[in-house]
Amino acid sequence: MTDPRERSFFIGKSTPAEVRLLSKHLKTTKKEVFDKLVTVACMMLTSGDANHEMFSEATKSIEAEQIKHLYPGILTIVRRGACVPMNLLKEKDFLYDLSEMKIPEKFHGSLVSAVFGESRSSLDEAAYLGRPRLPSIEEFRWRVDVGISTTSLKRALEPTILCNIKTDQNESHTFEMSKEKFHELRYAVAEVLNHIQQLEKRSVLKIET
Amino acid sequence: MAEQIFTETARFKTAVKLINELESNRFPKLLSRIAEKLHLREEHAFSEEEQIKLQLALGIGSEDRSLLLETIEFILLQAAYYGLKPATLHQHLLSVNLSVEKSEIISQTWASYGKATVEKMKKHSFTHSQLESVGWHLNLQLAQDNKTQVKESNAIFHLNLKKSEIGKAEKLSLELTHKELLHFYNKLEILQDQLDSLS
Repeated sequence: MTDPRERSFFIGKSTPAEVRLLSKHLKTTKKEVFDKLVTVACMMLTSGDANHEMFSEATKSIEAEQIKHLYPGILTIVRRGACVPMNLLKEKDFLYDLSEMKIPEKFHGSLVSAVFGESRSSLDEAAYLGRPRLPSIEEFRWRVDVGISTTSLKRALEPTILCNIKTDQNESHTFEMSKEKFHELRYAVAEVLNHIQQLEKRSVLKIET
Repeated sequence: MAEQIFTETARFKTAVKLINELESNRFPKLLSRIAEKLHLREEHAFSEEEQIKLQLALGIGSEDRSLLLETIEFILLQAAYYGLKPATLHQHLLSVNLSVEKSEIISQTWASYGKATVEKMKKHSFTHSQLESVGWHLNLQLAQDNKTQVKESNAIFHLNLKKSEIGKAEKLSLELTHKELLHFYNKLEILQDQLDSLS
């Protein structure tokens, strides 16, 4: 086990207020209630559009007072536990930290299975999908037109490309590109791809810390 | 010739007379200036000030001056429209009674500027929105509020769109992961194949 003086607690510099509140009320808490709240926490973190109704429905069998005292702490523990990659936070260290935060051993089981068990991958997936980001391309449609003549030229015969990009934010953008601008775009995309491939080859990314 | 490119209206005849009577030493320069700016739809070859100076220099009145500039512009625009070769233009000008000397100067100017002007005109478009430039930067995401030790590369693209309303431009910002980039690139490759098959 890593010497505790060499690493910091997974929860942060000091025990958060909600976890202190949690530990105070655990003497009178039943294991089933605790485990249920851990499951609810996982559900709320994995669901893309978690809302109040979902939460109310899932916790209807538990007293409001109990939820108030227990849930915030449980949620924080699960969140922070799942924050660090699995190979960096060892189970033993996690359990040690839980004891330091005065969480009795009988409640460790459900927390460990939430952070290190099967449902961990869905927590990670949800974290990845919910990250802050700019709109991405949902759909890209195009068409090539050749202008035969214009007001200024009887025979123009100039190809142009009409594009429509629909983003995942449901915005639709239609614009035209000349051949030259299309080449610019294509070159830019290729260049970035090349850089990414170079980047991913570097050892910095290969090292598993 | 198969087609009459220039119709000899009364106004046109007056203009032809004006052109023929002009001193030849200033004529080539005058023409070059007009030819250079021909493809620009909003700009005129000469500013107001320059036009007045021109008037004085050529010793003509303001009405004559506008007629002169208009007609020269018209001649060159027609040459562009019909894609005339310089020699053909020369013939057409002679047929409407322009002097040999002036016709030659005009066709020579067309020989120098014609091709470039037509190419520029081909690129004109008045669609609502056009791609003007592409900007990008590549990021390596290291962490987020609920995940540390992330090593995800992503690229942010800015597609700068020029709008048909003057002064308005739109910047379309997109973020693409490696996978999304590959996907996009493959689509662009298909597009490229289509373009290649055209030529």
